[in-house]
Amino acid sequence: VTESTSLAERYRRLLGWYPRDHRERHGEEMLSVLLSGAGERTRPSRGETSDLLLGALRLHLRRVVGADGGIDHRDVLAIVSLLGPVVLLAGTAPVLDWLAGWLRSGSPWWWGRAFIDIPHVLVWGIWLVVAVLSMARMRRTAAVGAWLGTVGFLFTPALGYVLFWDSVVADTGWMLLGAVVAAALTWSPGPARGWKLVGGARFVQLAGAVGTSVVLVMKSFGTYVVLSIPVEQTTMLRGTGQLAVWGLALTVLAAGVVVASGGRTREGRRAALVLCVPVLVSMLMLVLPRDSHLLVVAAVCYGVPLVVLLALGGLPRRAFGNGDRLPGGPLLR
Amino acid sequence: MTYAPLREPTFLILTALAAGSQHGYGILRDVEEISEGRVILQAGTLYAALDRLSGDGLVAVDREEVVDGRLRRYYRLTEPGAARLAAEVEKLQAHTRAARRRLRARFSGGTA
Repeated sequence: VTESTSLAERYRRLLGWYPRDHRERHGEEMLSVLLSGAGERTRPSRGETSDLLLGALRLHLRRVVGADGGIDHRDVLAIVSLLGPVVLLAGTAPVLDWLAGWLRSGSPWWWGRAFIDIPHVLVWGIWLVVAVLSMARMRRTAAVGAWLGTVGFLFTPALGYVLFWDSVVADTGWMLLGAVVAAALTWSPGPARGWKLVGGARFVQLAGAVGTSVVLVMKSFGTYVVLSIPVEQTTMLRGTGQLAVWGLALTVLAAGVVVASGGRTREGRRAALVLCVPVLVSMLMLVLPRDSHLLVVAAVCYGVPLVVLLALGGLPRRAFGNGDRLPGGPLLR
Repeated sequence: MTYAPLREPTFLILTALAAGSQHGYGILRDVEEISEGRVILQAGTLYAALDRLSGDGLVAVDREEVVDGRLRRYYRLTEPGAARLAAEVEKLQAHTRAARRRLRARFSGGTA
């Protein structure tokens, strides 16, 4: 191995820290520049090493926050502003289940519970109105409703019939998504632009997926039970069948979101990730110990979705259709 | 139209491309020459800047060549890039004129 080959190899290793799309576009070119300026050196200088590593870090960060010009965040939020309120309706399953029981039984016990359950019904009712307003492209009014609905999510745990911890757990994903939807309705081009990007057919597909998911959750033992009782106990008491139905409900919802958002575009994929936050939180809560401290629950519920979104959003992307080969240049390892 | 001020390396890279297209190593040498050896850019800084400037539409790839088996890509200043550089030059000139006027007044006042 000659000295220059060894130097090139060392530069290649440093360039390996760059985002993949950048390596594909500029890797050989940067190597050429580095070798041209290397003179008699046999290894990269400290200055070069730190400069290359900092450059790589800078480009990764730029991609994480989507500031590389490759993604239009306004379009991401426009899709979220249209589809988000519909996805949120998947969270109505427990309330619908309770309402159905109330209407069926007519028992005074159910009437008594109405006083403490009505806040939940009101909050989800607001989100139903937001979904209709969003579909009707009434962005500003929908935004006001979405902020109200998000604030409602904050207060219902204190009023509900379930334990505070359980309610926080069950509603966290919806509250996170509610806040993002409210922001999207307020600051993005809105549902009209979202409609242009995803189209009516996909909107209908999502509505179908949400409806199916709600029915499946109602057929299983419901979100509150799944999230508030250890899985082992639940499955021991009721078998694994209902847990599978609940998992299917989440899968149907996630698949509907991905299909509706348009998985072939970067904006669509990013929007799908945002819209899947409630599914992600539900999965996290399933594995989190029931006796976890509220701070741990909050850190997991809020921290993990945020980190996952940022990390997935920052994944390097291919600059060319296939392979790592540059036009006219050898492979950069 | 108002722009955020250009940082010195960015200003020097755009200046290096103002007269014609250059490849990466040429830009590095030119920046050093323009700044009279005060600013010595490294490849990592240069390509992070080119990545950002390309994204902003201020520079673009002009052509590619393979010299001695190595890829050489030439960059050029785009029209928006030239306008951005001209605006920065105009602003710096205005600042320089103001600074010169005030220094002149200070020195003339001091000797009076």
